[in-house]
Amino acid sequence: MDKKNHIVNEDGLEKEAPLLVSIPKRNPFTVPEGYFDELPSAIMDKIRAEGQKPGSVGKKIFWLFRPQWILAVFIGLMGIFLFVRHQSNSPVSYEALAASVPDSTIYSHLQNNIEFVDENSLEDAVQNINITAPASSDTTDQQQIINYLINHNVDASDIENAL
Amino acid sequence: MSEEISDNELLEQFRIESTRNLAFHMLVTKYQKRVYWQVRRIIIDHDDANDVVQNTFIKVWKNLDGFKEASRLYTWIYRIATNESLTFLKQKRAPLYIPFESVERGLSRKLTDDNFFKAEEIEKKLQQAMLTLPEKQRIVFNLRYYDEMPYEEMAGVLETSVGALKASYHHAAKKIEEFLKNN
Repeated sequence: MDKKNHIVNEDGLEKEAPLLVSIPKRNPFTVPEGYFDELPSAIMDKIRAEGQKPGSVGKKIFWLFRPQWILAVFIGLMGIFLFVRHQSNSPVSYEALAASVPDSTIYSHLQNNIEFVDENSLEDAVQNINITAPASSDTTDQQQIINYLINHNVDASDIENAL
Repeated sequence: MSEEISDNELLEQFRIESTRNLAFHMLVTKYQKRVYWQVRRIIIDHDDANDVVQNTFIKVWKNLDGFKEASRLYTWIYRIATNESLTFLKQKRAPLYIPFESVERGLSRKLTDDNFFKAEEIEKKLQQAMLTLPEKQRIVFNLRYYDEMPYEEMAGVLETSVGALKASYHHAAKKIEEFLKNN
């Protein structure tokens, strides 16, 4: 069934789109038999089944702002994560780091790289470290020194080479 | 008979709890065909259109209490139906859905396969031409060409200016004409 082309004339489509206008303005879609007779009841059944009440504003507000809620929760979680991470990454002092390195490692490194060690830099570094020198005493326990050297496998020739 | 009942009367009856269900049943009966055909022309497939139409009226049920009557009831329902249709098509394009064919090609294929599409070859070409239009432009064309909706009313449905709608409609008509010439 053709529809009268009021709109076609009003919109000037006859000139703009003559092919389009030549096609009968007919509804080519169909529906199953009795579809519209049953649709209102089907909708009412669905409303009853979902327990839908008109004007559930609170739920509506939540779903309207769902992206904002999700974003707010995400930002909150990120903030907590970053805070916890920052707290655990407290700066460690150089002295504490150095103290954790075994003496044998330091000695071995010095022995292998003695040529590259700048004595002036070493001296400056030592001066800057806040270490209380033991009180010098004539009664320095030489035995303690000897024991140290023995315990750390320090050979006399090693000392000589280092010097 | 339900079409004789005015929108104001329907709204009045809806607001009374004892007559709410009956009023809504009558509202659906009054507007179901117009809503269905609007949705069907966008969605193409009957089963999908049925889902969208039902979702539309469920939304109408939930929000009718808050209907401010700033626009006509039908304009408001039409707007819900349009948004539901666009949401449906958007979901088909969702990032996680990896299509082997575009949504439009899928809809075009449904024209051929659909048992509820009875058209001459040229009418099928017209529907295929319309599927090449951007979604909103297709809606504008349908509302104007098939429903003969005044631009002022369409502006309320689509929340777009009359000027933009006229431009969109004429662009759509030109694109369809071009498609028909080349195919």
